This record gives sequence, structure tokens and C-alpha cells, in this order.
Amino acid sequence: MEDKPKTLPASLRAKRRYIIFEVVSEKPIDYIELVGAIWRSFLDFLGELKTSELNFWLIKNLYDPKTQRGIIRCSPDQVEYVRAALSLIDQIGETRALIKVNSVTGTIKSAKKKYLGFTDLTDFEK
Amino acid sequence: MRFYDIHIHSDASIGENSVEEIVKQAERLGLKGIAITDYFSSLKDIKQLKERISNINTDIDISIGAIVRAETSDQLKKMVRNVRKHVELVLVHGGDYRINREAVEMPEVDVLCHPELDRRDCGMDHITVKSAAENKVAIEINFREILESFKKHRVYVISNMKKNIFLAKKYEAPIIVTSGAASIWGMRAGRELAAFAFLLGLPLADAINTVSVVPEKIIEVNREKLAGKRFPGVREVDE
Repeated sequence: MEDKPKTLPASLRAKRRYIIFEVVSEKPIDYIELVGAIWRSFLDFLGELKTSELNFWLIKNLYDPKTQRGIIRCSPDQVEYVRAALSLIDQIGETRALIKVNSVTGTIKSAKKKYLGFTDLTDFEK
Repeated sequence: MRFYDIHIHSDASIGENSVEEIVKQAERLGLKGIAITDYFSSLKDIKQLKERISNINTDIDISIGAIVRAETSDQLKKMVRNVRKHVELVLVHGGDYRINREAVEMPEVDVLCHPELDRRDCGMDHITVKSAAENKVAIEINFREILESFKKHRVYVISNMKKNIFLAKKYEAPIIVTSGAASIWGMRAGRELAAFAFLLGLPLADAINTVSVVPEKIIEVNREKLAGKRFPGVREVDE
């Protein structure tokens, strides 16, 4: 028996939205600093209880430090809360920066294809 | 309202305070009943605790529970069968998915404690929750986990508890909320624990039942079984 729960049936699975964002900054931003800034903003602005409802996840292997674009996964009815909390970021680490939301998609595949410029999707099906 | 808290540790294992201090605190908090639950190493410890409790003069309904912490499913089965006849409540220390699953498949178990402990996921799926509903194993929401976690970790804990409550609601598995206190300062009044259950996604009436009707019923049924008045499918009724 595996040491993790089985995947839930489709009807019980939580629905998701994928928010494609872009970091606009003076200097390049690395992933760890970005994660810290996002968590701080969420916890300060929305609090622990509301953040727990977001089902928020920053997808690590899809953050590109060159273009500074990435994907955040969240619950469909909480997208506006995530947008609002992201807009309150004005500094990441020591650098002045802001986060701009490019689009919201329903599947990770379309997010990669349309906004992150992946042509060969087979490498990233993880 | 008759509030129960059925997961409190005493100094018999990891707790800081004696049974007398716990009872005093429960009186202050207005609880109707408590269960002293510990990790017992032998049946002698259970006997000693029973004696200590019998010497306490109080109106509070005190019961004894054993928390079983096992590494493998065979060990779990053996330990549960050993303690079942000696205590009113059998709780299983959850967290490992295999132990969670094995525990909910055993009708002898009363409560599966914190199935999401130290995990990134919620530790339960539709199969385990279905089994819990069939075998009437209550899924515990442990207040100490929320109390002792901070910021990011607390977000994950609350999020996982919400998932467990969603599944338990769907399959009508029993849910209980306990303080899981290891000291008297970790104990809370029943209505406050119910407020947490409400925030985690239960309707208010059901949230209040998780700290009153559900634990009371579990204790009542087990007392009848220990007194020989209840067998599988049969119950002796007083005239």
C-alpha cells in the first residue's frame, strides 16, 4: 500500500484556476525571494484563515527567472483575492518590484501554451 | 449544553499536569465530561490511572482513553485488541496513511486522531472516509495542531483539516473536535472548539454536535459494551 492517499474521484476533486503573472522589477528576482514576498503579502493582507481557503500553490518548475513569468494555482472562487493580495507587493527582497497578472486559465496546459510560450508540452507533463 | 473534550494528556505520558489539575481546569471551563487519554506502556499504568481518578471527588464525567501509536498495521491490530477491554476509548495516533487506513477499517477503534499530522496532504481519501463511516470511527480535528503552528504551517494545517471535513461531510463519517491538550493551558471550552469546526466548514448545529452529542454517544456505547449490555447487533435495555 502506498503511503499517500489515492486520487479522489473527479466529482470530489477541488476545481482550480491558474493565474499567469509577470514580475516587473529593477533587478532580476529569484524564486525563493518571490515565494517569501507572496506568502508575506497573503498572510498580512488576508490572514491565515482566508489564505487557507485559497488552495494556493506557486508552481516551482514553471517559474522562469529570465522572463520572470510564473503560474499560481488557486481555487476558482478566490481568484480576485489572489489578484488583490499580489497587487500589494511593492518590494521583493531588496528590490523594488510589482506583480502584474497576465491572465487566468482553467488548465495548466493552456497556461503553458498560450502565455509561457511552450511549444513542446511533453517535457513538462509532471 | 453538555460539552465533552475527549483528548487530554496527563502527566502519565506526555502531559504536563496531573489529573486533579486537569479536572479543576475542566470545571472552570464548564465542561460536562473529559477523557484522560495517554500513551500507555502497560496495563498496570491504566490500573493506576483508574485508581487516581476514582479518588477524585467531582461532578465531571471522567473516562479513560488509550492512544495507540503503531508503526505497522499488525502492531496496530495487536495493540488495539490488548487495550480495548480495559479502557472506554481507543484512539489511534494518525498521520501515516497506512495507519490511518488500517485504523478506520477496525470497528474496535473509536477515534482516528489528527490524520493530517506532519503531512503535506490531508491523509484521507474517499476510501478511508467511507470505511470510517461504515465502522463508525470518528475523525478528529485536533485544536493543538492549530494552536501550536504558525503562519505558513498553520495555513497548511487548516487547509488539510478543511479537506478532511469536506470528505467526512460527504460520506457522513462522524467528526469530533478535541483540544488535544498537553497542558491545562491548551484546554478550551466546548463552544470555542465548536467555533473552529464552524470555520472549517461545518454548519453551526453540526459543529456544536462534534463537541457534545458525538463524543457523549461514543462514551455511552463503550460503557454499555464494557458492562456487557451491548454486543454486535444486540443491546440490552433496562425495563
